[in-house]
Amino acid sequence: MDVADKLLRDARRGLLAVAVLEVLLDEGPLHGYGLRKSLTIRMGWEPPEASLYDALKRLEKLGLVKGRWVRAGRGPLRRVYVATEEGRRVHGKVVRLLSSIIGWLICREVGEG
Amino acid sequence: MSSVVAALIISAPLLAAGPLLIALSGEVYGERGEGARTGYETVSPRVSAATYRLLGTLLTLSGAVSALAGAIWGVAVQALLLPPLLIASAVATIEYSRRLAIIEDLRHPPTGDKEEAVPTPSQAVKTFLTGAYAALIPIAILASLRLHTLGEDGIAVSLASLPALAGYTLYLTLTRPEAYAIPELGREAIRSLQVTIPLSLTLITAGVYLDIIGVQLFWPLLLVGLVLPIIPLLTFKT
Repeated sequence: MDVADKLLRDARRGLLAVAVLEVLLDEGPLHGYGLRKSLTIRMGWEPPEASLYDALKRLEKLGLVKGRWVRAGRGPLRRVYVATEEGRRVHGKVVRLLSSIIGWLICREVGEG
Repeated sequence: MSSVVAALIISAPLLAAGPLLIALSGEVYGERGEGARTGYETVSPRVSAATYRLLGTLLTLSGAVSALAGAIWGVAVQALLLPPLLIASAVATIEYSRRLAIIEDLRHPPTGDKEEAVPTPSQAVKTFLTGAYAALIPIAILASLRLHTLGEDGIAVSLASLPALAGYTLYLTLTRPEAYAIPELGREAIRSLQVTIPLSLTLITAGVYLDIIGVQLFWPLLLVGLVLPIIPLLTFKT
């Protein structure tokens, strides 16, 4: 893996975490399955389960998302995720920063084109 | 009896249980419908099988490493090595099964049945348990100061393993309370065990430490510690 791939992988990982926050803030508490489906529809690509797990784990560790197990009928326990207030605050900050960076990159590309 | 044979006998349960768990994982995988329990209530047979395999492998390795250490350095070292190896195996298995269970959960749509939150110990209980555990620190320091006069291996093993076990169960209660789930027990009994097991081990540890430092009234602590986990089993319906 070259340096560009590593940078892209890191960026994708970070962006997936932001996307998870975005979906949870927008749609409220969601099951893991619902979260994955919503991300797939919004982003246009299906995030691998392991990547989504890592993103959720990181967000939970940072206190931006809270996950809890719920029992439904006699089946296995299900996990429900919800964004925290801290998650809302951090999400706003990150989105503003990302928007300015992406906006600047697009302007530059258009200018060069 | 040579030290090699003694070391093998001490590690024999692990050397037997490990391969047995690996062999059983095939059986678990073959079941249909509900999976076995891995500490996260009912999960699919796939997660159960993977967990069995990992735990089996870790126990076999722990048995082999501790037996080797026992053969080389003696059974005291082996006894000191066993608790951390077992705890590390348990923590690794629980974290791994949690990862698999969560990833699997991402694949399946909700059933639509009425949902009920899985209860975790309240903040007050967590604070109390943490306080009780922290209260052991001065006793542990006092006991450690006297260690140089206590040459017996058993005392050293107690000093090392009891707080480790109490700490481990406390870790489970605070971060992974679902790990106490036992299919045969009702919810109230499991909820109660989440609190009583670490508390019981903490009391037993305190009792042993008090005994080591020469405090005569250690036995009420031991007695309460030993009886405490039995109460929920008798009180609540299974």
